[in-house]
Amino acid sequence: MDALLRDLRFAIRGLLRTPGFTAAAVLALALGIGATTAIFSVVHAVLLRSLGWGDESRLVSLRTDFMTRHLVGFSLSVPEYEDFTAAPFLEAAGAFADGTAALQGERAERVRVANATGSFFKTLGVQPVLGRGFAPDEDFKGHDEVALLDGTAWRRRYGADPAVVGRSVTLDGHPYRIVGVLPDSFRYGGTREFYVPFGFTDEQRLKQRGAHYLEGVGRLRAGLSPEAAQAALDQLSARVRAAHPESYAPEQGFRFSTAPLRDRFVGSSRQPLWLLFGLVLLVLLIACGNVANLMLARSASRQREFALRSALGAGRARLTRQLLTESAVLAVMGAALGVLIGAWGLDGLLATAPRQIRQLADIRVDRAVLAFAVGVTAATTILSGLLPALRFSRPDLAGSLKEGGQTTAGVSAGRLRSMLVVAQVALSLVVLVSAGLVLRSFASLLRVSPGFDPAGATAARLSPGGPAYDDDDSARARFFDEALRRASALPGVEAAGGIDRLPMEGNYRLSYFIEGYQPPSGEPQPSDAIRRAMPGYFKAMRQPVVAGREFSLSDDARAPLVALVNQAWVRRYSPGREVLGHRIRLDTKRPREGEWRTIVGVVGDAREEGLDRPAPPVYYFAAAQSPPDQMTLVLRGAVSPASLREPLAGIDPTQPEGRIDLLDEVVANSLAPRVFPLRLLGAFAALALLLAAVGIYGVTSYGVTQRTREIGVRIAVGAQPGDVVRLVMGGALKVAGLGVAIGLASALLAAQVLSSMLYGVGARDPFTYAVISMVLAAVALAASYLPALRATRVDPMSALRAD
Amino acid sequence: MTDTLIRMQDIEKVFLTDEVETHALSNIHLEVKKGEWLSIVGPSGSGKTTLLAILGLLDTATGGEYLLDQRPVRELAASDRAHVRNRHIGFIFQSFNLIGDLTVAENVELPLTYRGLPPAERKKRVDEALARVGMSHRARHMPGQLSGGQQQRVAVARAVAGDPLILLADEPTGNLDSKNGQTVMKLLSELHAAGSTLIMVTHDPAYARLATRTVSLFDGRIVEESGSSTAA
Ligand SMILES: Nc1ncnc2c1ncn2[C@@H]1O[C@H](COP(=O)(O)OP(=O)(O)OP(=O)(O)O)[C@@H](O)[C@H]1O
Ligand SMILES: [Mg+2]
Repeated sequence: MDALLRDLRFAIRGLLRTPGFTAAAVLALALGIGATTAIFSVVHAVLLRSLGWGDESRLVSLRTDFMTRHLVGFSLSVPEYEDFTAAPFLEAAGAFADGTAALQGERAERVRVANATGSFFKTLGVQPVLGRGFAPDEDFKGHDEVALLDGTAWRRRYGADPAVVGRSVTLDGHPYRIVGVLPDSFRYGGTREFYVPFGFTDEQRLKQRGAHYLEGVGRLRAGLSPEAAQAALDQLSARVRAAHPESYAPEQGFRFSTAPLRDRFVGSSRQPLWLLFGLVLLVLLIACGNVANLMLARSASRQREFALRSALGAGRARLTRQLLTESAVLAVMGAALGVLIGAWGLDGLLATAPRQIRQLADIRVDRAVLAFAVGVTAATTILSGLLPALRFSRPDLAGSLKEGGQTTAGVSAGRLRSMLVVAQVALSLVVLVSAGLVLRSFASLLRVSPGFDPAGATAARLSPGGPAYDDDDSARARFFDEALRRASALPGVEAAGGIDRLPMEGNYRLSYFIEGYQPPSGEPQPSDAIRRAMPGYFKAMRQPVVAGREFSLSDDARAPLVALVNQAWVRRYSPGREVLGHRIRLDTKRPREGEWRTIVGVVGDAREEGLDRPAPPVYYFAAAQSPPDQMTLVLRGAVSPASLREPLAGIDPTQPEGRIDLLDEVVANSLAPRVFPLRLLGAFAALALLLAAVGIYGVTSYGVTQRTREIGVRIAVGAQPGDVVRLVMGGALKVAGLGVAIGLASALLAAQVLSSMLYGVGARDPFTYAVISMVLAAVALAASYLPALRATRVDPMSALRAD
Repeated sequence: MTDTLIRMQDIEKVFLTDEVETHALSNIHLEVKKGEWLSIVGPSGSGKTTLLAILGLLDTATGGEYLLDQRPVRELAASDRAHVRNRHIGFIFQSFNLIGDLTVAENVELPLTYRGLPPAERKKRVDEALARVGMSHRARHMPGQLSGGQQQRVAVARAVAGDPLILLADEPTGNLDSKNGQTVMKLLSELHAAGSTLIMVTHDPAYARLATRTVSLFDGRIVEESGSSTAA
């Protein structure tokens, strides 16, 4: 203990004597540890931390699969949900559905409201902190006018007033009584302000097997093996298929399935997050390399001290401990600063993160993250201190005697340091290539035409709700017509139309029949994305009409029923044949919805599922002939969102304002999940490059100092300044070149992991690899330029005077 | 056409360190003819190395005039001086100064490389030079694998490979035992006999006597000259 304290005191004194060295090492470590801590906070919160609902291995999503329709992990209908609740292999099962509602107050406001069954909270083990949860009978129509309040909303909206229980709120025109308040910490992949029951009707429970809109969650019975659970699930599927042959025709390939609940929240972010974490660890390694390098340089200049200590009887373990103490002191200082940088970086990170990531979990620097930082610090200590310790704890007395002037000091002393830089360059190349590939993907995505013109148009959302609209198609149609009329009348509007769902904002698929089209045997009826559009929509989007016409005002509720299809639809179902005049109809028994509609036009393809996905087949109905629940108006021209607000609000003051976006924002939002990793990768790449440049500079500069005499001899025998510059920069280039070669080989392997994140560029894209290699070579040259310049100023007299 | 290689007139060298002036050389007059072997002797600190450095264009005088092969060196730019060193001067250092991570042959080749000679020509000259010093069999060795005497012979080969006008040696035997020292001196004698011009700093009077002429320095001045200045 006493010895340790002495080591510590000695280490700190030594580090303070060389403030430049200490600052450089601490900064390199702080940046590495800071970046790692920030990313780990996200990884931990999203992928590792307990969901907080007890034994996670037993929590599953309950889903349906329609294999032949390529629908896997689909939602449940009410009867299917009830099939699950009755299944003995589940201890509990609940249902959930996300949505929004108009909250009536001084001014109507749209808020996030979810439907949930009482069993949903019980399945997750969530207890209200105030009041009670939903009673079983409150799931059903007639008993369903109760609401649970989210903890955060309780604070924000009601000042945490306990008397809120028993109060009434009006959502979408229906009154609800607040019966309880949920804990603050509760989130289900995001937060909502209110939870209300579904209000299942007998009609839904008995007849609507085809209406899939519930998200199911279940808790498996304790002690159930995965095989037994799967067997029970298969049994349930078979029984349900047999009991309802009219709903599950064999060619649909129907079955029930389950998946770990965490997948619901993590989904597609899992892989990018692990990837980012892996890359940030590489950056940390590069930082460790720099510190090890600095320590080596420092130890080399202290070789005499070590020789002396060793001569005075200090054992190898003793010297190793001394060196490790020094690197530990550095690592601890780096970690302290790094955690600060990490916490601060995390704020910045989250501010720019897409909603999808931010809402996954409550991301913060918590105890686990701090524990991780401590672990990283220990690893850093060892990584950056061990090499110098091994190298110098056994001073090579004979060797240093031999160097006494026989030849100029060779580079062998610097070889270890050069190898470190080689490793750093190799690691940076891996990080840079990853960033480069993702950047190139993004660039090729930006070159993809979305199939419409996103610039210079505005999108205004309308979703009239409440008793006046919910079950009245014509009331909604009148609302949409009036909104479009008012918006079109605004000055600056060149074209206006509406659609129930914009491209890139999710699809809604329905089964339908195509007149004269027989699906290949074993396949079900076609099921594709359906859209309902108002007249003028395609003109406003600048989405071309390639055949026939788009919807017009005369396609109203009384006119013959019409439809449009896109080019992808034509390619899929009617290649090379005339489609105008053909008819399609929905697979439904609802009187008007199920009637035949005549295709009157073909429109160009839009990237409905994002720029990175091919355009799927889409069919369009005239909104007036099949009024949807919601509508997005698209206005082409110089209209400010503000000028839209007033006329839209005037249609029905009880309806809250809808969101108004620029159409480019819709495209930008669809790209957001890619922008986030891209930014991070960019930051990592810059950091890696900087650290590698520092490494190259350090080792070159040290090399020039070590080789002063050799350089003097070369100048004495006639080397020109250019020769000396070539010698020094060539050396740096050689080190970088070796690093690049090793890095290229590693990156070629590592980039395979990236494949799924890439678009329009291969994981082995030669252009990226070539450019990054050249960038690193250029950095090596730049970083070695100053030392090279210094070398040209070596006095050739040093060759004469040396001894 | 005269055979005077070196003419120094009133050369002086003053070092300025921390506002202290050191007069390392004053009032130096020196003439060296082609084929001469000049030795410079004198106590430690008398200015021998400084004089040799100025002779070899490693350093510049602060006063006086120095004509090398009848050209004044004062006006030469740094790169021209490097060029002159490379073409016309061969250095032999007390501490050999072979480059540790180049082979023996590469060390000898170094000045030829800087001269930009084609590889075949370089190889020919390296082979010849190594043969002259009797080190051909060690061409591929690293300097660290050689004894001190062998290293100094390689250094001599490096100095003569470029066929310089003049060879400069600062205590070439200073780091060697007497047997190895004699071998190197024998080598220098052979070079002199073959026509080389040599200027050598030495502490050893016995070696100094091998030269055709000796200059004694004391406190930066030439205090004595002995021997014939007209030797062939
Ligand atoms: N770079 C310098 N700056 C200041 N003074 C110097 C410098 N180089 C040499 N001197 C001084 O010039 C004087 C002559 O030095 P020089 O090295 O030429 O002596 P020397 O005769 O070669 O001695 P030695 O036999 O010990 O090698 C000495 O007083 C020395 O201290
Ligand atoms: Mg000297």
